[in-house]
Amino acid sequence: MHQPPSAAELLRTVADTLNTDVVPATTGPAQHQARVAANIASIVARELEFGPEVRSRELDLLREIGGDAVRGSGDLSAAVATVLRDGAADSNEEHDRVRSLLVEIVRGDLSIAKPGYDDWDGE
Amino acid sequence: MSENISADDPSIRLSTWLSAQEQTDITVTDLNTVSAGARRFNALFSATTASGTTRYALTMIPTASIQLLDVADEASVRELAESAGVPVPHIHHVCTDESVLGGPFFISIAVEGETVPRRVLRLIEQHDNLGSLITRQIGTALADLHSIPESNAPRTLLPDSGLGQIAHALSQVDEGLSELLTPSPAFSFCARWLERNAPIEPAWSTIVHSDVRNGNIIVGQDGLRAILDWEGSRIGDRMEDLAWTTQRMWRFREDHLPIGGFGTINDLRTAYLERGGEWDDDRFHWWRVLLTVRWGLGMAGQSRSHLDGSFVSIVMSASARRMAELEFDALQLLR
Repeated sequence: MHQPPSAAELLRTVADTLNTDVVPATTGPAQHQARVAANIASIVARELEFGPEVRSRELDLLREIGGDAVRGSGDLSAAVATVLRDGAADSNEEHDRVRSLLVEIVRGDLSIAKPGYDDWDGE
Repeated sequence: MSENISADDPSIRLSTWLSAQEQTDITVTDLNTVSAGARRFNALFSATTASGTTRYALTMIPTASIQLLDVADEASVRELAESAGVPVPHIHHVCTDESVLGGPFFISIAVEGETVPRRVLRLIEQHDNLGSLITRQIGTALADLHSIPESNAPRTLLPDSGLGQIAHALSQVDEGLSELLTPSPAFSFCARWLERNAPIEPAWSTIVHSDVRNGNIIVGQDGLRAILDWEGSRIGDRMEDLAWTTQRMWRFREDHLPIGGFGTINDLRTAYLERGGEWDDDRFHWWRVLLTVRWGLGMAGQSRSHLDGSFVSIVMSASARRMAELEFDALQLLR
């Protein structure tokens, strides 16, 4: 086992170094790439820290969406995607119920990929 | 930003070519790159003759094989749009001879103003009603563009699928879903909704720009000065063009103003109708959902291109991590 810092902490240091030192010292495409690299390091740091918890919650939500139709399925995402594409949420009630649960799943992904993006309620 | 074009002395080549075209001595100076993407290269330059100096914009397609629309067709669409009243930087020369600069190019007049989205928003913040004015001008410009008879468009703009606009868009969504490396329950849900709520095909098709948004417009204190980047022009459904302006990505978090972070749908619709355009709320909403899903599937596609080695890039590699943003936006549109 490694001594700290953890993998996530090291990635945060990578992101901080890119943002603080590399971005101001570069221009044009190199600067853009440094920004993107910093963002990726931050995303992966969050994924290492929160990924397992987000994934576990996602599986619970997928089970709740799919119910009996996906019970025992090896790949829950695929099974739920298939039943939804085939019309499992066509009724108004199911549309509302399933949509809200899908929003919760996507909020989990956004908490890793783009925190704060889920502050929009639509129109 | 001042990185020079990477051919040997392109200013001299351009001076020679322009002098021959206009049969007078022309000297090109201050040739500066504005943007250099995979598909196009944009630069500004000064051309000096005995009678004075004029600023021009150069658009070059570095590799002819990856252009969406060839420069001659793009130029003719822009000329059609301009003659219909759409603000477009006037094109002075089109050159399909790749030996001059290393790729086909065209030269248009340089239009002063802001194009960078955050600077556009800052300018609008400083002037009362400017956002509303620009939104209405976009509505007017799109009504003018959509008034051009489809029969006047270059033949290469026609879709090759043989399907209607709606059917073609739906088939692209299913194709995109099938190509995902991991499934998206959110987009599968949206695909079903899109299929069940598909509008009838538009009674007629028009030329659509397909990328009118904050970032592809030049604005000043006086409002909209030009619509840029016509490379994605094709025959399509006019409501698609209008719907694309509302993508959340182009609002830069100014979510209370759906058009580019500076305008309301009501302003867009009012101006479009006043200019004689025909607006359909249901089709508009349907296209908003479809375009959001399509863009999200495209993000995943960019990362696949990185993974399979066809376009290796750090930006493309991370694109799939952005798909959740589009899933979220699409689901919110389906409340």
